[in-house]
Amino acid sequence: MTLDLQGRTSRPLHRLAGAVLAAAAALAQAQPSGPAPVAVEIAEEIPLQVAATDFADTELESRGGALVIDLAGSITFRHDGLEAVRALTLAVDAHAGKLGGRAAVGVPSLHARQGELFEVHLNVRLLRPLPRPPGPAVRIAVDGVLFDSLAAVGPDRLDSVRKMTVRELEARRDRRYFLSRLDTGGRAALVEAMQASLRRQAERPRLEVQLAGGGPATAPGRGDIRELQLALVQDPHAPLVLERGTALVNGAVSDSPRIVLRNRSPHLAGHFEIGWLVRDARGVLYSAGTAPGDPPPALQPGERFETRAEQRFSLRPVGLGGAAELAGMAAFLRSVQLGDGSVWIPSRSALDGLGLLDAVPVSAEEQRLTQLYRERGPDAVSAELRKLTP
Amino acid sequence: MRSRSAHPTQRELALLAGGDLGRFARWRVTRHAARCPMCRSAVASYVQDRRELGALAPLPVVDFAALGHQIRVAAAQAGPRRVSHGRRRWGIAGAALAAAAALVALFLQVPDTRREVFPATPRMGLLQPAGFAGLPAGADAQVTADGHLSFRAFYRGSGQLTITEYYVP
Amino acid sequence: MAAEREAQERAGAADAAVEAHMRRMFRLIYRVVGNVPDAQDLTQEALVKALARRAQLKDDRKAAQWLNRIAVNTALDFVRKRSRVTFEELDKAPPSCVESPEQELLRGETRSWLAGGLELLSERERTALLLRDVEGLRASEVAQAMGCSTATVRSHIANARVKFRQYRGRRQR
Repeated sequence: MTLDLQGRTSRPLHRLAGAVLAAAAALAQAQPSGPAPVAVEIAEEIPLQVAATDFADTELESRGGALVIDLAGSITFRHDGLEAVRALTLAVDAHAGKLGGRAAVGVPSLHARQGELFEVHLNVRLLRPLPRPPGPAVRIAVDGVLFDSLAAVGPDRLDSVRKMTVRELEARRDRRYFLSRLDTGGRAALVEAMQASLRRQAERPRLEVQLAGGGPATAPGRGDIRELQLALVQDPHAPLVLERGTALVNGAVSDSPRIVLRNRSPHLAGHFEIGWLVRDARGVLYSAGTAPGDPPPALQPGERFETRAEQRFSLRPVGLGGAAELAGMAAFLRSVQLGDGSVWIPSRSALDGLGLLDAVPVSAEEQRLTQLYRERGPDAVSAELRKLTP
Repeated sequence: MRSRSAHPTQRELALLAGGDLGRFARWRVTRHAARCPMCRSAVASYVQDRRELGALAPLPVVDFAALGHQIRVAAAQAGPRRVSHGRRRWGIAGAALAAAAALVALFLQVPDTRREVFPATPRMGLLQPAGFAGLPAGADAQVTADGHLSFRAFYRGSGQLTITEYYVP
Repeated sequence: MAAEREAQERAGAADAAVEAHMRRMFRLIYRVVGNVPDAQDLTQEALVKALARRAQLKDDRKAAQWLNRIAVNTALDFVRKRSRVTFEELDKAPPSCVESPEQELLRGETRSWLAGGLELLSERERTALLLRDVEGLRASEVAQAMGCSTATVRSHIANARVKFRQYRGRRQR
């Protein structure tokens, strides 16, 4: 056997070794790729039918022990129900138990009335272990459908009803804003509002902030750890009050934030989401994303709750303008689900008044409307606003 | 009014004893233990338990040379049966050589140009827009990454926005 | 002659590499199953499995981690099927130094009660604890070997140490 210390084998040995390895590796290879069988499942109570599917552009590829599925295509649904559909979420599963095996595709801002067809595009990459299953490689299930009245149906395994409701409320809020600009100031005012939004989206301070939950911070620290008081942005109309909060900070890494909240509404309060902001030494605020609060059992009116220490967040700003120090952190309430099933979100004027409008990302609807403005102009936006706002 | 206990949990004290807490938690729990005799005593007990587990450390005597030979033979016997149709079959001696070579190739560094299919495990909310294998490709999709692991794509023509979210099991 | 000597040196280096990996995998498997005969068989099984799955290894710089994972998974599968761990070798381990009969007896007793405590743990808790506290692997290395996250490993270790403490507390009463 001849083998040099760098691991390069001499030719005869390499051929033999290669042959054995190739033979063994051949066992792990999947069958040749082809059109992916995709199954679409709709629960009985959901008033949708599949009118057509087109997954001809989908590709499967074996890589090592995994099957990589590039699912590309569309499903055309027909709506058979009475109330218009506003949003839909699909659960897309290749292998739910493994990383990369499951995704959700949410489609906000739909407006499908009874008897109408609407198409949903999908472009998702999934992984599943080999061998390729005998049946469908991918199962797509309708996880939730949101109607105009904000009623919803569906198995809701992915918490999609709550998310769709938050997005739809944000969408209505932002559509009302743009429509009011159109109604009060005409086309010119709408154009000005669209351009202001595009400028805000382009100029919003950007920072690659990694918000990672579920484990202790492992980034090497620098200097002393200090306890920071959180700046809590109070919306006077929010059902929960953020009373006080702290976080541990070391250099540019933050950990173990804790917030004490009080339910000041007359309703039970459940799931809530906190929006996080970080401030650098120059005082610039950057969005650090949204994270769900530790869902408590329903908070009674007047009751207090402290987020648990296990809910750790490591904020690691990357490229913090050279000054790799977190000077401050702020938190605000992004959404609250109340005991009667309703969802609260901050109003646009509150976000503006609290100085958050320039820091937080725009809603999906605002992004969609400004995209429509860029591609098809203000008249298309005006028509869309009229169509979707009663 | 609900409030969190002032003492660290037993799990935190047990992890502190083994040096397994993250930096921030270690700071917090150590600061508490410095002032709390009860928690300090608990940590000392966990340290003692770890020390006693060390009694299991010594390994029995094993003939590794014989084990190595057994493994080479087993690998050789497993090899020829998997040769696909049309390839020449070798004798056991040749197969043993090949299997040994394969084992060596397995264990020593050989350059490999295959790339990772998926990046490291993203936990909740980890933002990885660049290089993420799941980014939708296609001329008519514009992708933006939000503050959590979701991607927005616009489909030209229909103007439809979809939001794709990837889940960690 | 020089070429022959060089070839022999290379062959020796290769064999040493194989043996080092094999010994490391054996140690990990032994920690999980607790006895030599099963550990030997499973080391052989794990290495043959590794050879068959060679194509799954995408980065050869991570061969050691990948082999560790196969070793630990093979051992855990075995334990799961058999539903119990046999700590037969505890009293046969060599003494680290010359001991008196009293010290040897005490060491044997220590191992017995340790075995009792370990049997109260789940397979994954026991594996994480032994790899961390006996084998001395870092939590991240244990996570790679067990194919889970470091946070999960810490959780297993925390559970294991707390249960062990409770077991010890009951024995001392």
